[in-house]
Amino acid sequence: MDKKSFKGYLYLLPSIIIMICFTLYPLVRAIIMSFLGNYSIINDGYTSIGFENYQALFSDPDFGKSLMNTAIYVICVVPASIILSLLFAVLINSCKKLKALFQTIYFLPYVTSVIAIGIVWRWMFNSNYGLINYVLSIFGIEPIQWLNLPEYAMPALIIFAIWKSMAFNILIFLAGLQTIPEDLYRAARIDSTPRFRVFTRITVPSLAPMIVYSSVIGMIGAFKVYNEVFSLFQGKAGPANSAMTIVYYIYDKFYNSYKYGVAAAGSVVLFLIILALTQIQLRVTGGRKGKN
Amino acid sequence: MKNNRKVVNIIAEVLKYVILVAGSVFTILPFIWMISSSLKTPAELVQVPPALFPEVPQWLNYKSAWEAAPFARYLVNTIIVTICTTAGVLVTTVLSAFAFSRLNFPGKKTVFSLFLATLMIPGEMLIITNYETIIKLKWIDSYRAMIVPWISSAFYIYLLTRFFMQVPESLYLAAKVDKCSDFKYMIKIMVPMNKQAIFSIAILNIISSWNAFLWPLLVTNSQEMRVLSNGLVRFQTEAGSSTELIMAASCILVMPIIIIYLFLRKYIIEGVTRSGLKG
Amino acid sequence: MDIRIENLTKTYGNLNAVDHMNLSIKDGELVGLLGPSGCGKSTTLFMLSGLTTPTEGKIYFGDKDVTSIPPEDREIGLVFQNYALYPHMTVEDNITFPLINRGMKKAQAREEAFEIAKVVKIDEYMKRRPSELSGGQQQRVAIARALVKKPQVLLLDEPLSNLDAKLRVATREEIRRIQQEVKITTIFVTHDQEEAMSISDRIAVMKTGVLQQYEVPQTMYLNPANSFVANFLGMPEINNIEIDVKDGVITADGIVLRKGVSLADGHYKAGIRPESFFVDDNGASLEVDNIRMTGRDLLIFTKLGNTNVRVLVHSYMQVAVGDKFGVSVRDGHILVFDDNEMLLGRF
Repeated sequence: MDKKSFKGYLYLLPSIIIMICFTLYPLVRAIIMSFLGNYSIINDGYTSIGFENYQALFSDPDFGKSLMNTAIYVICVVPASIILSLLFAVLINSCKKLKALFQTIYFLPYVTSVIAIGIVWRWMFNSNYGLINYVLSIFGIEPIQWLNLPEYAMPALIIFAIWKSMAFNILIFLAGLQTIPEDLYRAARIDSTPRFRVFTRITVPSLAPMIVYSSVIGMIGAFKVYNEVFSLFQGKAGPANSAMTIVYYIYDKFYNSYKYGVAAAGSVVLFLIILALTQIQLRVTGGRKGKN
Repeated sequence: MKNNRKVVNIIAEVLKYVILVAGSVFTILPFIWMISSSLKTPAELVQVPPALFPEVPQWLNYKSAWEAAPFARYLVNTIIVTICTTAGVLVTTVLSAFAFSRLNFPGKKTVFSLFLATLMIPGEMLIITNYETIIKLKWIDSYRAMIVPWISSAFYIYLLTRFFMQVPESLYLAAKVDKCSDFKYMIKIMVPMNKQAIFSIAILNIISSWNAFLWPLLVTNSQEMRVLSNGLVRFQTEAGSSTELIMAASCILVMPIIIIYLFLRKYIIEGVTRSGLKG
Repeated sequence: MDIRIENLTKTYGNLNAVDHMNLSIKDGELVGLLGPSGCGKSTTLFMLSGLTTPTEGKIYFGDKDVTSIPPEDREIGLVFQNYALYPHMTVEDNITFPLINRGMKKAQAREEAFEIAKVVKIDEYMKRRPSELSGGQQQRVAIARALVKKPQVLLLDEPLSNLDAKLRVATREEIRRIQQEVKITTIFVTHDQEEAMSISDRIAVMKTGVLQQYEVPQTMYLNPANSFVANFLGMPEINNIEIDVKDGVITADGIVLRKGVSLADGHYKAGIRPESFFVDDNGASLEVDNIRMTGRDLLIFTKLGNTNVRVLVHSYMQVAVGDKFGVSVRDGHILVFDDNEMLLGRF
């Protein structure tokens, strides 16, 4: 019961080896690489040590654009997804018989390959033959060049992203709703609480940890968006790079321009942004949780 | 008075179902569209207004798509990579979760925190160096490259450790008194008692491995080693305007997972929600 | 197997969970480790099992020093408070588990399992899973698993805590019966004094890691070593009063309780059990403040001088609130304690 031995490390060995080789080592290396000017994979050579890569990064208008695009994406997708998911989860939870059916349907997007379903959405957004323009035409709206015009590329991406991300959130909220003790609702009924107040005073506060969790996970995932962009725009970052996101920028520098140092710097910046935002978010919602 | 409330309630119920059904349609629509498009003729595809279902389902589209690109090979590759990574993940996860939950070793807390901390690191930071590593190891274009980096996951380890910790310590102590070695206890008691959780992890890993895109794209060059997701994207470029074939190919990629989902969704859902709820 | 504990100590940080304990248990005895939460009884039990290593002291099984021998080699059987049965295995597999681990062939293990299952009367449920059994049955499976390897010592950690009240009485008799039939030295931990009193050959009372008294139950009840033991045993609890002694007369707030005692003059703390009073028209006159009847017993709440006391009589007695009645204390039932709360004497 109280003896300590090193045997535990034997069990951990495979995981530790993988973690060192493919997580810790690359992490350190990426940070180092970000400070090496003109780093080349082929001969491990570099021309300088310093902030050269970061300077290149911040002076590149494309990087700023990708930051902006990503920010827009996150702001549009995450809150909308959370709110809609909350709504649907509450509605689904109140169904007695059809709950399982709805749960199955609404969770479907989560298990699907983003690439495959992105290709389908691409087809649905087709300017001439796409389903979406057809539906819009029923309401008298002119066909929109979704994937061809920069101003519509982001909205298309956002719609697709919301569709994909709701599945996970709905599931988490449903699970959370099922943990709320029935007695809370019974007490509210005895006090003749109107339904909306039940929602805001009981349901939402009880779900607060789930909402925070989904928000953080959603935000982190949204910042790293790549597959959605790739599949919707067939490998490009949107018409005229209008959907260029941070990760897209990083990969472009890495895979196409062979500017490994700059790519590494970009990834470090990405990491720091995510870290900072997560901290802020946890601090803000931690306070709100306390008040409730 | 009461009648008013009843009417309001009925309207609310109807509204609720209208919203839910509308949402369901919105959710399933891409799938339905994918299947229906895959069964249309090229002419039907460009029909305006587009029909929901084809006149005659063109099952031959699937045959054409299958033969137009080496999907059989892609499928085999995907299956091999998926099975091997999942097997590897299960082994490392069980071993590590057991160590963290039951065994006592110096530095345990620190190492566990380290594992958790790695969950914060975005893969985008690591991918460059990992690509470099694969090149240096001369593993490019091999199964190893697609499998090895993924056979350990801090996320699954964390998840399973939580499950393992719910098994009362007294069972471990009782087994110890009964001369049961740690390894035997892990195999004969811990694993069977947590069958569901382990199965959930397996399914989740199968899904994420099947759907993996970026990493296989990076580390494979040749057609022989390509996986389905990469093959599909390639095919999209090659097939150009044969949308019906592209849709069929998408179906091929998506359908196996959907089938697994429909039959085993209990485990998938349990795995995902367990990771989200604070236990 | 005789057991001897010498100076057994377990320290966590600055705290002595068990403090230099000495105890001797005879072969075949059923000994209860009794005390409130945190008194060190479970820690002692786990040190006996080998799962916890002592900070100081030694443990002897017979003549053999087993202090540094690991639990699986000590030939002990251990029953946990929550039984620790493997839920995915049948009763039979649970019981054969220790035998299979020691290399016994399955067929023979099954036989031996069946033998012990008959002793604990669980033989009809061999193919069931633990979740299909009641609490009492699960516990018997746990006992069977502990006994199947024919250990020298049986250890039980709060065996009855998880059972409901009625089942507890029946089960503790079962434990006693099994123990006598198998004739194994047994030590069990409990916080329930009635439980310990009813089945133990001897009780060891512990408080904050220190052994208070080690004695045969009834003797301990009548002759508690100190105030703590006196208060811990007995339900309803003993009445704690303060007495004055002058010229051999014991009074409490002026009420005479006993004459002709050989005790030095002074002020003392004393204890009188509720059942130590008897109705005596010649005794002190007390007024009934309140009564509580529980079937057979009648508990009278009254005052002895300024102190609230409870008097236990048979429910045949007819009293009402406000009545006056006379009491005396049976001979030798006034327990007098010194300044260190040790028993000075019984008067």
